[in-house]
Amino acid sequence: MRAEGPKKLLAKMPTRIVVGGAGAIGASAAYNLALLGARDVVLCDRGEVAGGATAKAMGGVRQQFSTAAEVRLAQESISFFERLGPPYFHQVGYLFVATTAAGLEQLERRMALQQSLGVPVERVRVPEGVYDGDVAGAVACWKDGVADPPAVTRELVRRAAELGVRVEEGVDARSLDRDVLVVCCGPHSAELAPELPIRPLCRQLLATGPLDLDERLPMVDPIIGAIGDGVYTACGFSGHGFMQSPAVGRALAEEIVLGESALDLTPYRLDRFAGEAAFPETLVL
Amino acid sequence: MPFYVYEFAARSGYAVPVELVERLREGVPNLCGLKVSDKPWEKLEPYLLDGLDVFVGAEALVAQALGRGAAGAVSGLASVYPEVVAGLVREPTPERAAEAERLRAELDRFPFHAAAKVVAARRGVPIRPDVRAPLRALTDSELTELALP
Repeated sequence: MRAEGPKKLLAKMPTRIVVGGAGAIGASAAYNLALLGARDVVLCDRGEVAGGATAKAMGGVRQQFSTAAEVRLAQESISFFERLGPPYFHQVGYLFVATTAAGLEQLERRMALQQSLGVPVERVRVPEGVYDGDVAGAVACWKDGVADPPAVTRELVRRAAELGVRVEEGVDARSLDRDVLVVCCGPHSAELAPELPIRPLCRQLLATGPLDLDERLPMVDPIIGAIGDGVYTACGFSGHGFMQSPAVGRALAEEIVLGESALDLTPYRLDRFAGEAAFPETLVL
Repeated sequence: MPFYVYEFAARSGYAVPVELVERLREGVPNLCGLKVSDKPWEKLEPYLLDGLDVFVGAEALVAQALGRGAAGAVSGLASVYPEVVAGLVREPTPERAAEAERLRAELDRFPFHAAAKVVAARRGVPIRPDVRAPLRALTDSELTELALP
């Protein structure tokens, strides 16, 4: 069993773990560290809880990704959101439409992958009341939905504190003594770990009618796991960190406390950049 | 795609001049109208232009504006008290206007978004009271003081 690995004892050792960044990812990491038995965890943010990108996140939660690794993270996350339930998460479904034959073919190819992994995604008609004059086809997963990012994050922080995590707002992680540093500062993560190839990128959200969009948007490059001696990170999600935060926080905590995670983090290692491996996820919204 | 101008000088920091709206009306075929959240009446009134659907943001001015040809309301209060605002738009009596104004004034004593979410949750809407930074939540004493059901 994984729990018998060599680093299992970390939880019982006098190890101070400082999680920098109290957004969705940091809160989930701290909560899962405490669940796994870490005794001395500080969750800090130089601003406030859920004050950065989490405050801007739309809250869409979906399992419809285009690579197996992403789908698995999303599946694990959905089961957490399901347990939270309303009013934190409303399981209203997530619909993709295609307006061209090529677009539909792409949607169906992804659907086949998602179905092979157990995601209940299906071909659907466009819901009544939505203009469908130029729609070639649509797929939906009714187990997807929309969550309230600040509310979910604050609830995780509350639970973490209940389990003994110390929560510090207005505190920079670099100012705290620690044995382990977990960098969860979103686009600002490189300020804590300069080796991270993460830079802030301004993006716009716009509510519209149907648009014909080229999906080759900027690459998503999340980095998850150990990046140095006693330094871990989960950052660089390019806009879907919140929806994957339950699984990512869990995986990160498992790696720190148990030495390895049940989820395969290979596609997300920092060292992949050395070999110039491109991240294959194309479905970035 | 229909296109609307949103005029809310108090929030955006500057007004969309009436002259600009008139030019848009002449030159932009899909401009359908405006939402105007300015108050008092003297600031709203110049935007009630022919040929454009004007939706009013300030609940206290809805009845008066409807009498002058406004198309309806797009109201923040309606996200908490939809039946009050819908009733006002359908039947713009002074009594209904006063009730909407009273509710708005009570919510406006607090940070509006936080207060609105608290009251909506009290009314049975399945939402959390959390707001997004930099907005702030109500304090415990504000929660007690906010008497609206």
